[in-house]
Parts: sequence; C-alpha cells; structure tokens
Amino acid sequence: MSVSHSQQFNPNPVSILIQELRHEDLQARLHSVRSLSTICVALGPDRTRNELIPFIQGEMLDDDDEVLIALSEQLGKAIDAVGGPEHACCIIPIVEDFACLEETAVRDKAVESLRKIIGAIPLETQASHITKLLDRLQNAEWFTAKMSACALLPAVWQKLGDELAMEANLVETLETLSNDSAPMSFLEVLPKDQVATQSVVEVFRKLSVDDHDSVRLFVMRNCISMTRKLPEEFDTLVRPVVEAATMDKAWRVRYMAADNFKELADAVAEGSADGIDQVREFVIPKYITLLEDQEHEVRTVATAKLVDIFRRFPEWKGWPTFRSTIETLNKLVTDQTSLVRGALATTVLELAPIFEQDLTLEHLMPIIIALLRDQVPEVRLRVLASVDKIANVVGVENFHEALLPAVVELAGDKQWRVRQAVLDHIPILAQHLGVDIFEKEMGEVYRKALQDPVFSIRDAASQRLKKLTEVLGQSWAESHVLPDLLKQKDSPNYLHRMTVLFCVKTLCEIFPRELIEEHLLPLAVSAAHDRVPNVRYNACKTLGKMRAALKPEPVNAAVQETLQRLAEDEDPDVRYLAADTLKEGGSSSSGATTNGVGPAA
Amino acid sequence: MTDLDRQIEQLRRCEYIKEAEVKALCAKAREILVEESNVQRVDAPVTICGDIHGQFYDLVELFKVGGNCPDTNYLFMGDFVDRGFYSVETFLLLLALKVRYPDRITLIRGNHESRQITQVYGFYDECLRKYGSVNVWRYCTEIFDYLSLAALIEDKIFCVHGGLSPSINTLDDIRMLDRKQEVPHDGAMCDLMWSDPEDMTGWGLSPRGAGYLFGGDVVSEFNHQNNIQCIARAHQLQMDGYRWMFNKTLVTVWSAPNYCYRCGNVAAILELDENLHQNFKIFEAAPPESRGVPSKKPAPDYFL
Ligand SMILES: [Mn+2]
Repeated sequence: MSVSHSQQFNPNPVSILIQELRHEDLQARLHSVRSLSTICVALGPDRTRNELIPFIQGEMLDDDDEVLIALSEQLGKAIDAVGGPEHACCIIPIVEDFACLEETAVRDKAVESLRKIIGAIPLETQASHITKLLDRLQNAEWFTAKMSACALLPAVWQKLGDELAMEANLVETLETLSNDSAPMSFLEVLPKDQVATQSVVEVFRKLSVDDHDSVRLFVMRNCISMTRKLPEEFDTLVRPVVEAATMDKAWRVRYMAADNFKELADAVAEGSADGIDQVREFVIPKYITLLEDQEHEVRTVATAKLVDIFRRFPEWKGWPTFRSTIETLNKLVTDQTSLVRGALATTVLELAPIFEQDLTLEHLMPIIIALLRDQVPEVRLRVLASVDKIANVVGVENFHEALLPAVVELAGDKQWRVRQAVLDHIPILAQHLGVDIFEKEMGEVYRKALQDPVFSIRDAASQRLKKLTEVLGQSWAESHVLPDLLKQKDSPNYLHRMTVLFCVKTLCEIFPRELIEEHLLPLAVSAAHDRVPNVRYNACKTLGKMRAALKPEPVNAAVQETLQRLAEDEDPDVRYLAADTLKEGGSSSSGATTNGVGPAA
Repeated sequence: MTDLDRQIEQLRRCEYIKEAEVKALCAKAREILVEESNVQRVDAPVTICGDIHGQFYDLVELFKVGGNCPDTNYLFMGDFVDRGFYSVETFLLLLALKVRYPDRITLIRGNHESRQITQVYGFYDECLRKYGSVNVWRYCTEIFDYLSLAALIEDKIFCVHGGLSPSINTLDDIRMLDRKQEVPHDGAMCDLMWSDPEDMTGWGLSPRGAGYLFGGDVVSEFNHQNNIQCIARAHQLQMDGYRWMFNKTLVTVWSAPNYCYRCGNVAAILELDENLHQNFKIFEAAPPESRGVPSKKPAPDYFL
C-alpha cells in the first residue's frame, strides 16, 4: 500500500479521526484510539507531527480513563510514526500532560511511554529535551507531576550516564524530590562520584524515615539497590533500615518489605564473602517475623514468597532457624484468614520437592493433610490442585498411606468443584497406585461420580474413563465399570441413562471391535428404544461414533438398522440427526467423523 | 456448522452477536413462538428454572449443574434480563437455543420482559452500550410480546412467573388472553407476571404496585378447579434457592445465585424426571476465575 494512494482515497483522515475521537460512545472512541497507528501510517510522518499530534494535545484530557490509558500506550509506540528518534521529542508534551493527571493507572501508562521516548531520543543533539521534561515535572505545581518525575528519574539518569547526570544536577533533583516527600525508588541511581554518592546516601537515609507511608513503601527497593551498590556498608547503612521496615507501623510498608525480601537476600548473599552469614543470621530471622505479622495481608505475601527464598537458599534446611520456621508454618495452618491458609497450601506443595522425602514426610505431610480438611473449599482446592506431585517426592507407598485417605474423603465433598478436582486427579492417581490399590481405594469413588447429581461431574467421569482404561486395562473396565453401566441404563432418571451413553462413546475410542460389539452395542441399541427423546438423540450420536470406531470393517448390521429406525423417530431432532448420520457414514468408507464434518457429498 | 450453531457457540462464550444476526434470530424466534399457546404444554422430563436477570456466568453454572441444552430439557420462567451485567448475552443465548431446539427448551415471560421495565433496570442501557443503538433492544422487546404467559407440564404442574390473578379461574381464561402486547399495568396478564403468594386467606394488595397477593386457599381452589398438583413460579428471591408453600401446592424457584452480585443467596433448579419425581439442584455463583471481570477500570493501584 502506498501512502499517497490512501491519501487520495481518504483526503482527510485527521478530520474523520477527530470526529471519531469525539464520538459519544466510549467503545467507539476506544476503537479509534486503538487504530491510531493505522491512521498515522496513512498520514505519513509529516502530517502526523504537524496535524495529528497538535490536535490530540489538550483535546482529550477530560476523556474517560480507559481512553487515556489506551492513548498513552499508543503514543509510546508512535516514535516511528512521527519520523523516528530525531522527531520523538514532539510526542513528549502530550504524554507529559497525561503524566500529570490524577488517575494512577493513566499516569503509570504515560510514564511507561515517556521512558520509551526518552530511550529513543538521540543524546548527542537532544539531551536537553529530556532534562527539561524532568525539570518541568519536578517543578510542576501538582504533586502527581512530581511523582511522575520520581518514576522517570532512574530512566533519565541511566540515559544520560553519570557525567551528564552530574552536569544536569540530577543529584539536586533527587534531593529536592526527597524533600517534597515524593515516593520513589532510585534503583539504578548511584554515581561513581564520591560527593554525589554521599548526597544520594543522605537521600536514602532521609526517605527511610519519611513521615509519609507512601514514601516508605519504597524503602525495601532502595535497600536492595543500596546493598548492591555499597555492599560493604550493609551493616551500618542498610541493616537498620531493613529492621525498621519489618516493624514499620504501616502494614503496607511491611507488605512491601516481605514482597521484596528474596531480592534483598540475593543482594546480601552476593554482596560480600560473608554475605551468606548475614542472610542466615539476619535476613532470614527477620523474614520469619513477617510470617507471623499481625496483618493478614503481610502474612499472606510472606507465606507465598517463602518458596522463592527456600529455592534460593536450600541450605536453610540446616540452619538453626529451620525448626522455628516449621513451627511458624504449623501455626499458619489454623490462621484466621483463609487467604493465608490458601497461600500456605500452595507453598507447602511447592516446598516438598525442595525438602525432599524425609523432611516432607516429617514436616509437610501433617500440614498438607490438615489443609485438605480445611473448612474453606478454596483452600482444599488449592491443595488438591497439585497433590499428586507429592507422590513423586515421598514415594507411592507413603503417599498411599498418609495422603490418600484424605483425598478420598474429598470425593464426597459437598462442593461439586472439589469433587471435580478429585476426579481430575483420578487418572494420574491410578497411574501411581496401580490397578489393585486403585480399585481398593478409589474404584467406588469413581463409580459414584458416574451417578453424581451434578452434570459436570458425570461428564468429567465419563471422559476420564478413556485414560483410566488405558492405565488400568480393558479388563478393569469390563469387570469394574460395565456392570455398573448395565445397572445405570435402567435408572429412572433420563440424565443418568444418558451418562451411560457418554461412557459408551468414550469406550468406543479404546475398545477393540469384539468388545464394542459384545458390550457397548447392546447398551446403545437399548437406549435407542428409550421413551425420552433426549436419550434416543444421544443414542443416535453414540451409534454414529460407534460406526466410525468400527471402520474400516463392514458396517455392523445392528448399528445400521437402529439408525434407520431412528431416522423415522417421532421426534424431529432425532429423525434429523439419524438421517444425517446415515448419510454421512453410509456410502463413504474413509474416516467419517462424528461431528458432521465428514465427507460432504 | 450452521450460522445458528456458530452463534450459539459464540454466545456460550459470552460474546454478543452482530445486530443483523440478532434481527434474523428474532425473526426466526417469532415464527416459533407465535405458534405456542398462552399456556404452553410441556412434557416431562424437564428442568424448571427461575429468574436469571442477566447473570450470564451463573447461567453457565446452571448448565454445568443441570446439563447442557439439548441433552437436558429446560423451562425458564422469565426474568432473563435486567440487573446483571450480561442481559444481552443471556437472553440471546436462551433465544438462540429456543430457535435451534424448540422442543427442548421453553421460555415464558416475566415482568422484566417489558419495554417499560427494561428501560429502568438495565437492559435498555446495556443494548445501547453494546450496540451503540437501541435496535437490538427493540428487536428483543418485540419478541417479549410473543413469549408464552405460562406452561403446563404433563397437565399436572402449572408454571408461571409471578402467580395467580383474581380475573382468572381456569387455564382457559389464560388461553383466551391476547398476549401479543406490552405487559399491561393491570388485569389478568399483568397479574400472572406480578403476583406473589402470601400466608393469608383470599386476595390482598401487592406492595409491588402491580399484581396481587394470594393465599393458600386461592391456590388450593385453583389447583382443584384445574386438576393440577402444584404451581411452580419464580419472581421472589429465595435465600435457599427454592421454597415450598401451602402444604407443597406451590413452589418458588430462584435461579440467580448471589443475586445482583451481593445478596449472598444460593440458587436452585427443579429437575422433574419422566415420572414427575422432583429433585432440587442447588448451586452457587460462578467462581471469580470463571467469569469475565465486569469492571472497566484496570485493577486499582493497591497502595496509592
Ligand atoms: Mn420478576
């Protein structure tokens, strides 16, 4: 497509876009914002810069947040559309407006786009665009602009490099912003220059004890960067700040501390030769206090992040704090908040492979069993979600003895999603346990699911039958499922009679011809005589599938006869489906499928 | 796969279909519904459902518990739209199923299947928001006029959205009504959709401002006169999903769990097997991870 062609085709896309951007329907405006890049291509870089960008500037500021977020994002991607890096600075003012707005989500998106633009701008000729932007934001009247300045500072510093950053007085900017109590994390900012470093350290100290919670939220991030930059000063500079953060009066600060602890531990461990000792003696003990924090949000995140730390420092298992960690986990089993217990469920299951067999059996198994019996279904579901993996850690024998009874118990749960979760595990459990133990412990559980009052469970049970038969063998299906199906086909409830057909359909996929003809065909034929049309309809579907399964051998006469009978059924849906099925598979001998997508003619 | 099958697939994913498709769907639905009686005859087995009110993901939950249409037969007793976030998808899915499987699903009219009510309680605004015009609302409300007023299962169970009317003694009285109109402010047709049972004798004024309150004696007289076992109706929130009244001669079925996303109730459907044995299935609201997030704002910033 040539640009000039589209211009001829549509002489003024700008005015159309303007109309669309003023459309009263939000979805329409969103749509036009999202198609901005297409319009830019049609316009070409010159008109995009000279007409489109000036138009949008100022025009949209009152629009819905959703539109502003989309627009901020689009503008960050518009660097090529305005003519490449040399022209990228023309997008700055409009995104800058958005970076000053009240709504955090809009500002965040705008800052993200500004970072991209800053990254693109050529430093040699246009560095001043970058520093002026920062100046404007920093000196703006609105606090929101200052917050955006904070968020941009590290990117600006990185872009300029230490030398230019010193020239542009960014240290001063940092100090000013910190005096304004603007929340910031200056992760990558720390110049080589000694004097400047001292100033940054001062800022770090000041921010750590700022009166505003929103500023102290970033304390932990800053501790991490300080530890990375000045590892030798961890003890004197950072350690007291970490200690204070874990006891901060604002729970959000403690939350952020917990959330970032693993990274801190990383930085400490890598910072010096005795870093690992610091982790063992200081970092981990502090972390344990967060696991017992009075605020449940903090306990939740600390519990959830535990695995990361254990994975990074498996030697924790041999440290003196290990025992108290386990004690703490045991307390969390009866935590008042189910969110914490849910996090614990996921955590202990993930800890198991790190702990390995003996420690898992000794310390984690009791917790897992207790959580399987938790009063809140979401917690039980969390454990069930990956309980089978425990078998890999502790071995089948131990799993069978210790955990299986609790799992089987959940097959009778009154929440159907819990019952379904058990069912989801049945094939893999069958694989672990083998046919004898499976039949003894879970056979009844499985067969009961085929008669569950909830459709989804019956459906899932009939679908699992394939995998189960593959794992346990055809003779298991013959001796332990077919007798039940024979009984269930006479159920007074048509929905349960249909389950039999679902199972027959599944078994058609794996039974050999003799077994299909001997066991499955009679079930389908009898269902074709059912007095409820829905059952006959499904009998018809099943027969279609059965015939496909029996190919390429000659068509079974009983299948064909029954389908012909159904093609004259009193119910129109049954008639139609039967006629269709006959047509589909009748003449063609190659690979007819079951869903009406077989050979067309 | 036919267009209709594709539309059903799409609606099952809670994606609404095009305006032109709605128009065509409604035209086909009208052909089917116009042939149905004011008191539509329904065979057992069938599963009876109460109000849905645009709670699409909870309707999906209902099908998970009760089984899919057309495998399971359904009778929905009205109030498909309003209040929930997905009236469009909810009604169009049910309507598309009706067109695809007319013998497997029956829809009767609730008091919210009305031009006036839907302009106040959400369906009108939702159509406007989703389609940018009110055409879809117009097509749907035209179809509302064709919905049956009641259903009769195996001559034994009378199903209606609201309840009885002092102007109606026999089922033939209902059969005589001209239903193809907007729900009137009073009279027999209005009462069928608005009335409520009440522990009282005779008739009373309804606090709703439309329809009546009716007592156990009224039900017993009506059931005797028409040789029916019981009345199944919807229209009133039940915290346990359903409620028997008047010595099991009337049952209320409610199928919108956590009604309006905040009432904390469970929902129920009533399975009748081919011998009219009753079996209530209780279900809860769809878990958060299985429903689309309706809020248009991104997740609020956690801290600031
Ligand atoms: Mn109602």
